[in-house]
Amino acid sequence: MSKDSISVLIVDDFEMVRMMLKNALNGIGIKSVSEATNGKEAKDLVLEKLKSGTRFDVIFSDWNMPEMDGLELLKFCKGHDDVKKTPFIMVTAESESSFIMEAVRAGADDYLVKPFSPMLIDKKLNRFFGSEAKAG
Amino acid sequence: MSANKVLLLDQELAKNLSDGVSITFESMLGLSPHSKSFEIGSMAEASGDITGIVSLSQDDLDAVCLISFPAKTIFYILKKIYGVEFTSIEDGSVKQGVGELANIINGVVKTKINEKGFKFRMGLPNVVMGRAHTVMTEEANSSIALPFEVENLQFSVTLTVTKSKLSEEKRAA
Repeated sequence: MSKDSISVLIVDDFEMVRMMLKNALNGIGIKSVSEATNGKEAKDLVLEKLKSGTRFDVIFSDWNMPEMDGLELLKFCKGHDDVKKTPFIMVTAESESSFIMEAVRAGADDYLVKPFSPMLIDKKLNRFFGSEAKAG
Repeated sequence: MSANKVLLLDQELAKNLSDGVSITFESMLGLSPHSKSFEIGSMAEASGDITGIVSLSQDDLDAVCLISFPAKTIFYILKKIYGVEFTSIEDGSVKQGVGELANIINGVVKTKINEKGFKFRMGLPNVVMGRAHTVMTEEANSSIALPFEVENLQFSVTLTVTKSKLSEEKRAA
């Protein structure tokens, strides 16, 4: 899978974090990036995408958000037959092991601790799409 | 493990603060800020046009971290992220940006301090705005301040540490 065909959903209530993640993804060759400001909005986007016969290839989600948090979104995704295999990466400012363990126990496929670099994101994505995923 | 452990305001802590800023700026913004010195005092004071405030606390200690930016500096930083010019510190994106930067920097600082055996928890960030304002903590046993420079623009980071009032009350009871 080439990087320019990967479709990413970023979920964060902070516009600045969404922008920084989007810039980092663009920097490694990923151009298809959708954004949601909370779990509920993300859930709607995921369902809408499924209705159109496609789906996101990976979801980056913040943990603490209004309306529907990252944990609830994670549970929804992992409980949905058509979405459960989509890599879900929890984005957090907490680097403590207990916090990371909680995310992994809840079904997160990986985690990203802020501050993140484009290189780190690339490394995380290579885990799911292989290092053969090249910028198109 | 953390009880009665003393958080020394020294060169090592200055390095923790400096690392928190450098790691955040370099990895997320592609900027390399540097701080040539640090100052230790009894009162905390931070001046700027916009300040991010984050509290760190554990059983016996309370700490407050102030990150103050002149408008020119924060507008430059945010332009790197958003790709657009900012002209007002009252812009919601500027306020949110300072809060999130303060949050991320303190996440790194907290991790580095806790690696020494402390158990600090981090509070939610607050932001104070106002041209050439000064933020002063009401009381502080000690503080450490680091002036930073990035692309010829300035900002500062100040950490104050006090004994927790709650632990003082517990001890008195």
